[in-house]
Amino acid sequence: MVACPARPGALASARARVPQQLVLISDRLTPRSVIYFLCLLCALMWASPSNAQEQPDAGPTSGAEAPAVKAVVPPKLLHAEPPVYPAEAERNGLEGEVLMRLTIDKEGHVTEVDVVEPAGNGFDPAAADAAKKFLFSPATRDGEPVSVKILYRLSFPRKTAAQTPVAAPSLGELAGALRIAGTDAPLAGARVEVVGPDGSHHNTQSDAEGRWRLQALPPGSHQVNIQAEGFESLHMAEVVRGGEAAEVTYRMRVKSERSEGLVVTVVGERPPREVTRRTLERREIERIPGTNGDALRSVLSLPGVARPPALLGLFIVRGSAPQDSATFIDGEQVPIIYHFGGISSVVPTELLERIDFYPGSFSAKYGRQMGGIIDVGLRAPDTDCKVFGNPNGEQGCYHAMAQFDLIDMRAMAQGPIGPLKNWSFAVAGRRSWVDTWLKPVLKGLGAGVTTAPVYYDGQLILSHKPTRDSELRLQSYVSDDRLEILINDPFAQDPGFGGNLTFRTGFYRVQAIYQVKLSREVELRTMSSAGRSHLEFSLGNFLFDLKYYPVSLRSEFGWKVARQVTLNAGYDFQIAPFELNVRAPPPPRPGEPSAGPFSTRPLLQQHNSATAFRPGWYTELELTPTRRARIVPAARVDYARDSGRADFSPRLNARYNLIDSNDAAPGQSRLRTTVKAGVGLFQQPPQFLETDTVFGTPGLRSNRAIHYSLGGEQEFSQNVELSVEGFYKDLTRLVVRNPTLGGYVYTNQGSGYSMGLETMLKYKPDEHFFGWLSYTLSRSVRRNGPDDPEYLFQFDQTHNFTILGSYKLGRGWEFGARFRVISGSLDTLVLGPPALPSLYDADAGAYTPLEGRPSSHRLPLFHQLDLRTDKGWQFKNWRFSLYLDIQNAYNNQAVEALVYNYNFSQQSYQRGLPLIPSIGMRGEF
Amino acid sequence: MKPGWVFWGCLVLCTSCDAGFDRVSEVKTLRVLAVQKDKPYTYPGDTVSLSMLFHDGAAAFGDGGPRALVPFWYAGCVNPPGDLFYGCFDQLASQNPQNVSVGVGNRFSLQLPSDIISSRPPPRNPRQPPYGLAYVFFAVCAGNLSVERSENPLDIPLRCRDASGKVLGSDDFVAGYSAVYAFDQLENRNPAVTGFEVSGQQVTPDCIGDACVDTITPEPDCSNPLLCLPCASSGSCLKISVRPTIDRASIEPDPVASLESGTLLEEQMWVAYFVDRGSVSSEVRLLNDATRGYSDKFGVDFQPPSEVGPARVWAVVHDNRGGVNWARLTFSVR
Repeated sequence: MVACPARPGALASARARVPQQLVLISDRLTPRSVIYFLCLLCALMWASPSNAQEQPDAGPTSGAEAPAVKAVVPPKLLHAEPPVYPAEAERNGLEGEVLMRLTIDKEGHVTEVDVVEPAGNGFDPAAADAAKKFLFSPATRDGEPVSVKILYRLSFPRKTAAQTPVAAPSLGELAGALRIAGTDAPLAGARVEVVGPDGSHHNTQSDAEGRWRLQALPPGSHQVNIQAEGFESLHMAEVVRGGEAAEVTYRMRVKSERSEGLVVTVVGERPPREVTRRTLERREIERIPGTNGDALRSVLSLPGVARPPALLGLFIVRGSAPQDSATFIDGEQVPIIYHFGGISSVVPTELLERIDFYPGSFSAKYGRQMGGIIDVGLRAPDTDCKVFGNPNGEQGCYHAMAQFDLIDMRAMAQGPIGPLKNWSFAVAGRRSWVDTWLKPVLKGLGAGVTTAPVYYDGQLILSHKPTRDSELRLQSYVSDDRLEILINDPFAQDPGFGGNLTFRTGFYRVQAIYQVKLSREVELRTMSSAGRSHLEFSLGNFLFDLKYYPVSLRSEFGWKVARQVTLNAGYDFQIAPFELNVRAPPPPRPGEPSAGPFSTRPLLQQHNSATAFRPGWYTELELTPTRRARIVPAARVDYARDSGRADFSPRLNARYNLIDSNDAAPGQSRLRTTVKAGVGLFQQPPQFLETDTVFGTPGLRSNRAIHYSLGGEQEFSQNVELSVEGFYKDLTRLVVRNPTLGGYVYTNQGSGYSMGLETMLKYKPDEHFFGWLSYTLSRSVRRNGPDDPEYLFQFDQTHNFTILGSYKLGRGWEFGARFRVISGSLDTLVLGPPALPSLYDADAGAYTPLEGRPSSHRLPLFHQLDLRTDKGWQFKNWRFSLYLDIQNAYNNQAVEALVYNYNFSQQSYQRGLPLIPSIGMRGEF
Repeated sequence: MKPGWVFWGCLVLCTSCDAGFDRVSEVKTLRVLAVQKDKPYTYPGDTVSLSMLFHDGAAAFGDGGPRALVPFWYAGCVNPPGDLFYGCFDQLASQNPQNVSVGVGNRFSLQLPSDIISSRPPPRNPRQPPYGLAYVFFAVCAGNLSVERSENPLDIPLRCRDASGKVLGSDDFVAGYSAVYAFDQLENRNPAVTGFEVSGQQVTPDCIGDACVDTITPEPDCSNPLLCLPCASSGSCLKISVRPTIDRASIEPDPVASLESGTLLEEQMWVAYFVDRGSVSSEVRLLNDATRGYSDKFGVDFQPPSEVGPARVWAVVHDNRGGVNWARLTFSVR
């Protein structure tokens, strides 16, 4: 609820006359003009083509617009003899992987084999011998067969000791597990084709855990072909013996970014250890209308994520407060995720390898939060060599990209590091440059502009793979947003909001990540990081200035104790020396009546330097008692020195495949049906100011939530899947405060709950289409004390419906649309007659609203249509793409808040952004 | 507290302006324009005098002529829980209040308890000076004022009814409060307003400070051409720059805000403008920023009305420690 002095229709008309306002604005900087420019800036940034992405559809045959490029069709493996497993390696249980460069003649025969990455232990000659017997379809250029060289990786998967007999002794069984190389995460939805020695084809698909199984295979040599969107295809030769079941594990490599379909993985509603999995491929992220291709903004279209108020880039997950959720970059918590509250992500999409989104019931590796988790993974540098944009299998090439638009400019380079074997780098940077043209404009209008709004971010990644089973990653990232403006017209509703406005959020981190497979059963992943964060906001004599220097240490050991038992254990330490300087009245809290204007309320001050220390330890068991069942009990212990409290948080998640796609008979396919459930305790220490000796009350306990979830997944086809999940969060020990003589006292007397139902019907991307329909029904309630009445939480959204889709029309064209219908936000009404709506605060010269029940008024329904059209051109050595992204296509300016006149006797709606068309373009080579 | 929230919340708050409402600077109803304490910061046991500047803008638009308006004062609420004004409502509605003083008229005095500071816990930051707080409530009603308690604890227990018993709303009834802070040692003075400038030239205002409380001066006789505007004859009036003149020596440092700062911060000060006819280009202007200091651009452009008659401009100067002062200027539109 806000109040304002108003000029009839000014803002409404201003929205419709954006360009004219630039010259018609008055000769002084008023709050309205400042805010107007900031909003204009936000609108421009929001609508910026800064995230224009490449057109992945623009292949060599993308249409008549392409120049006369001779298209190359790579060779395809037609026949392969299984390699002879080195006897000693087999006895010792070793496995290997050999990378070879094969020369293939015009007939498809392998004429030369060079081992590029040897594996030793006898694997290299065995691989070379096998490769010489391969037969390919010849590569062609413009339809003519040509001789080519390709890189080929041949794996010698460890033969599992469990060579169990199967029912029909004359037939065999082949089962496998697919993992994403580098992450070891399971790869779901991959198409597995096995061609038997008799030419018979057997098909299946990997399940949510990356597993697949084919039964009743004839004995002999089989060709295994695995394809997954966004991953390099894998072709293997395996031997199936009658009466035995063989198990293999393959690691799929992500395609290069510059090739079509790099996958950025978004895991939704994911209980610990990949029990449930949803993926958004990069094509989806880039093409979701209304997001400008920004990966993190695309998460807002998933079930369970509420629409945040305009310009407040908040993550509101399953009815939790924004501060209950946290954002990580490769395991390190960062203070912000968006520049200027939602304009663009602090990490560009180009550098993302994955986004893990956990709306609840997350793994015990995460603690100290009771809402949701977003963990962003930066990608390994791309050193693939490309022919007309497609990888040719060779490594060691450099790439660069530059982009420029109205709001920011960015550049990225990546490739190998000169003579250092197995080292590669990626470096990227982005800076908004709107300040360079906005500052003189504002100054020309008489504003005191010290720093016009500006942001930048940068990333540096160094990757080293000393062995096939280990990787060392050194990376650093920095982000900075700042502005400083002198507001000469304080806000009439609260004149303390005037004068010198400074806003800055910045952070950097230096991070080292090392992961290694210590043995066949034990894996280690460790992360260390150090850096600095600076959050500063000042206005007049109010100040919040926090500098801290976080050091994070994380390690996790994974030990496969037995075939059906894997133990994961780790620690998660946060150490942060900090310096805090606060000068402000006690900040308002949700659900509290207005205490009057800030301007003249007595200041509290805190200047504190200390070291926060929050260690955590956790352990999880991954139990698979049967092939269909997966049970993950876990426990975590956290300690917070600032509150002096230790928390123990047990958790349990389980899923069971009622129908398993791997149970399909030969030649048939079965559609998976899964039920899943989870329950767990999640505890979140009080915020630092809540236990501060000046602002808060020391000795508070942690906020507590018990997450319950129950759901199911049903496949309807290889592309269509429905998931339904109900959740309930029981919130207790919430920190609330009560007025007392001389100030406030904070207690853990708050409580509440969030409950809801999330539904998602998804069509997974195929070569033409992707889309989904999601609906979330939820309710979030709070109570400040056992004797206080319940009230709806301010971010409660009853209904959230999204339908979106994108279709490739061909010839480089793609069209998409997104339509959303969402319950209006909640607001608090002032008292109505016969009561006065406000009191005059004589010290501030402003009015204080007298409020009714908190969050008692639901604003009108939000609905919006976004459209997007892409067009790409492929040239010989570079690509060019254009897009038009129209937000709010039918110009329904949503109601964002209630606004009042100066004394709250008149009421109106504040409306949001109008139709915003956005044109983006990008070229790269 | 998340600074980003505050920032963007501030943005949302500010973008909420201009929804077609009347401007706060244009006095078209009954309005309290300011309440001044003779000592914005006082000592325990001291007596504080308050005076109210109000104007009934409705009188100029109605057909009944000036209304009889008598301010009502109420004091006695000391150190309410959380220092929250609504913590006083129970006492205000009480049938048998103790240690309460009430009054009527444009001025009011109260004596603070001598234990107003010692009766509350000391500040948690030992470097912050302890203080005591007393609330003074006031109301101006264009009818009959009564004490009525409603079920809502946030509803001030005062009602203003006309002769027929109908409850009057914000246009005819203004209630408010002033917070009186007592310190053992700190002092604060009201801003010193010395006059008015019109188009960059000094003019003598109708009145300054307490002198404006009781009287409305008649239309000037055009002895000063700066105040006599031949708008009606020319068909329109040009905008005129106006601002009060301030004694900069009255801009004081703020020792409380400077405690942990490392640099000396000053009072945050601003000027609120009001007109009974015509309009001003800004409603509130910054006079002094706590960190950047004095701003010379605190004037506004006054757009006189096109109709003949007097047009008054009030400039009310505030500091953020409860200090306030004002001056009034009357133009004659001919």
